[in-house]
Amino acid sequence: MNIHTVSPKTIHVIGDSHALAFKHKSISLPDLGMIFSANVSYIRGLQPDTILPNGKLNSGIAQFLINEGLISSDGRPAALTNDPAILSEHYATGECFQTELVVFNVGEIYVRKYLGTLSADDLSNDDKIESDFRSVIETYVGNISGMRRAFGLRVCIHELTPPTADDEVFKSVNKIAFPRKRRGEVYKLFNALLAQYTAKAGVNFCHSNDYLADETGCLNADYEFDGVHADPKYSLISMARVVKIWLYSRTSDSTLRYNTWNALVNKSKLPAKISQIGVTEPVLAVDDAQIKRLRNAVRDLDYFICTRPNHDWGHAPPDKDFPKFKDVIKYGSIGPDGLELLHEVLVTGSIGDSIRSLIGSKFAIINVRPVESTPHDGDGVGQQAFHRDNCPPSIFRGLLYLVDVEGNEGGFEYKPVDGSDDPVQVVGKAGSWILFDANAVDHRASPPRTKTRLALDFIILAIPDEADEIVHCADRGIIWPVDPYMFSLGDLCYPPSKTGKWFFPSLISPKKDAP
Amino acid sequence: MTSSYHTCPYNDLPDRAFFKKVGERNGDLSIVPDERVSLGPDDKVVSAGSCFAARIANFIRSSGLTYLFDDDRVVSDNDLVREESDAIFSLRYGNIYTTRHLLQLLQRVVGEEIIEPPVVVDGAGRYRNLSRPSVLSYDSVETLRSDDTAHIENIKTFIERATVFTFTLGLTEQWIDKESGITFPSAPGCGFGEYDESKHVFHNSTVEEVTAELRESIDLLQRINPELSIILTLSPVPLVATYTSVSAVEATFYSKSILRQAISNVLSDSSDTMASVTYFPSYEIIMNPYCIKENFAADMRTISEMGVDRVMDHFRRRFVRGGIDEPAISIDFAVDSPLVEQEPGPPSGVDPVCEEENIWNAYLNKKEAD
Repeated sequence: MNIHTVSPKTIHVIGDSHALAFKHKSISLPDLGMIFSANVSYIRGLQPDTILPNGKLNSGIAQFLINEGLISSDGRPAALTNDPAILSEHYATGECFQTELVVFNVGEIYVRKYLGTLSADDLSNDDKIESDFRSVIETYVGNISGMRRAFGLRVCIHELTPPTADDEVFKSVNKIAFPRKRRGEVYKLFNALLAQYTAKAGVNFCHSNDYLADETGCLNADYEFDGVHADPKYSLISMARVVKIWLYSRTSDSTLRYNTWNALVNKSKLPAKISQIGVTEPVLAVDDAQIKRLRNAVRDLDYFICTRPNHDWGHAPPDKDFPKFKDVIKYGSIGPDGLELLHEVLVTGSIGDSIRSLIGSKFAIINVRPVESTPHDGDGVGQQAFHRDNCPPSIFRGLLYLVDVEGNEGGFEYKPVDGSDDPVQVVGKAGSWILFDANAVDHRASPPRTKTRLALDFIILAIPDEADEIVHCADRGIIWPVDPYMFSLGDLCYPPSKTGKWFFPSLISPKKDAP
Repeated sequence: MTSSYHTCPYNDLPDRAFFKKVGERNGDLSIVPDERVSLGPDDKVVSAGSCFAARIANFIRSSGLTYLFDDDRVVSDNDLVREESDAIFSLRYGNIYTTRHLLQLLQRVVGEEIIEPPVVVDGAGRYRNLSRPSVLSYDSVETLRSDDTAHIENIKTFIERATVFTFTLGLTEQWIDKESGITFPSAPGCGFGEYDESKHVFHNSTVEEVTAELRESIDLLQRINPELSIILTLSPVPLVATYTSVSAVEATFYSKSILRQAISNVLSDSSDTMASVTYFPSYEIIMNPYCIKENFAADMRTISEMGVDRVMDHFRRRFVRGGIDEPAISIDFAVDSPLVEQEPGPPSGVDPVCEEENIWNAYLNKKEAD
């Protein structure tokens, strides 16, 4: 008997009876070693305006989120609790906190009831119908977006299932007659507005009508079921789409655990010095011989694709066709000799003291990423366009050039924190090092025009005294851990990890000061 | 006699108009986007004021918005100009607790009134500028003056570059140099310099004074940058001590009341000048009786992390544009926790003691009828 171990993840689905189609469903991504299972909260009669009446979360939803450990009973995200017992119990599973996926499948009941309220004159009044829908959808999406922010969830709104194409069935179920073409148009309008508002709010949207709806906007015959719902088989397609959205949007994934971590690390509550200055002046951190060693340690350079995504690290999309990343940047890994040298130069040496002073605490280099930019004449996109990184608190960045970088040859470029208009390009000889706060300044890797640029890019975590100042290189395409208290470590770690895991139990249950 | 509720003018007001309804919202004031000022990725924010302003600066930085900052030292040589405390604002002006302090600083920025701040020597023999004594120390008076000149220039540059200026009012009590009229951020003799009754005088500003100083400060800010938006806030941090004859608690409420009234006075001006000036109720968010205990740390002076988070959540919903409106979310604990006491039911009749309760009764009556 062959037994395969896979990494499971739950998709929480909250909704009216349309959500029931997701019950007991799972999908797997065997190439990535991942499996996704639905966990359904069916709330009878749930409608957009009963999710958050008067600012109070629907009791059924609240109870579900509490039972699933997503929020604590005082209404705060579980990831923000300071109760050491709850935290210890959570980490005893061996899993870090993760950004939970929650899909809302709500609204169809509202539309059906709404149709029943329309007078004969209103049936063809597009302006009125659109205005009414806008009002409901704005509240619906605003509420879901608010939950996302308040509880640190990854939320997704599901498109409404189209109405049955059968006039008799529709009339029988709803006790109203409503022409097929017109009811299709009305549902299409609602879904179009839902897509529009979710995009505006930055909430993920799971389309389904491209295959569920026929040319009139009513339910495709292949999915007719009971006159109200679509055949439950549709939920597997939706789950695959939700998973794809999740896998494609994890580049800055993080949990609210960073907030409590940051409170642990940054006792002054003031911004770190590096956050105030944005970017340090470049200094030569390594000599020629050390540069040679580092270059020799660089390996596996390939385009910015994550071939082995996991649940406890944010990562690039696992798809080379993802349009955001042009084929002009390669990432790789760095071998043990390089990691040991980096530890010596950047952690134990004077550069390390400078980093500690600028971030205000000890630090761990939790990911070193060799990055090679090949020359091109185009405008920069992705990392080569000005951006901020949306790093979680306590994460800082560093860069070490492994080749000489002259003007317009791939230098790190940023807009200074003093508000002056002209971007500054960091040029320097091989071995030049800078530390920066990727949230404080607009920055980019400027496109090199004639020469290939090779550099080491560092993800730096500010840490409390109890944690270890490691240097670690994660798989290609991996970015930073979603939970700074616990994450997996690979073989490329100096000093080598005995457990393969970053975890310090004393940080979960801090010792009380002796009386 | 029968009581009639159905014509009560409060009946159709939103929930936020009723104290008890606000209490159900876990400290949320049902804040709505500000009509005068909004913040987006292109905005550049400069902040100044009392300690609480530094917490706002933290939020600005962590929200993907641009917070302007400069080292603001004429030289970074520690022997010449030593950093004595962390830089927590856009520039090293230190805490600006009073409107008079802000006004005097801005008057220097526009060259309206050239008063050089008094200088003292500290225990280490280094020179301190009494307008910001805790911030920097100097090897000589010349270095201090040169740094001060550069600092004033930097303030001008930053106000010109900024799109939004936030100022947090903190105190009305202050100490003033009799000869120059310069106000100090702390009392002479309390850490820096010597208190001299013949040179220093205590002053507790009146609402008229604060109103005038604030109005003039806004005029000067907009003279430097006519496009500048201004967000005023009031620090909820109580006074450390009072020099008046009343308790520090009474003095705190006096001081905050004066400042709050002055802000309202200024904002009631309907002229174009005030069209881009607004108030953010950080004071009220923290002092909300429904959550005041969790908003303060155990010393009842420091704002707790939860309190700061609560203020910043309101700040984001009030000012940060993009996306769509998001409500604050609370959970009805009674659903899940039998240990939580239930709120007593509404009174059934007119309260003969508290006339104001009638408003609440009318609201409940109306709701029942609906």
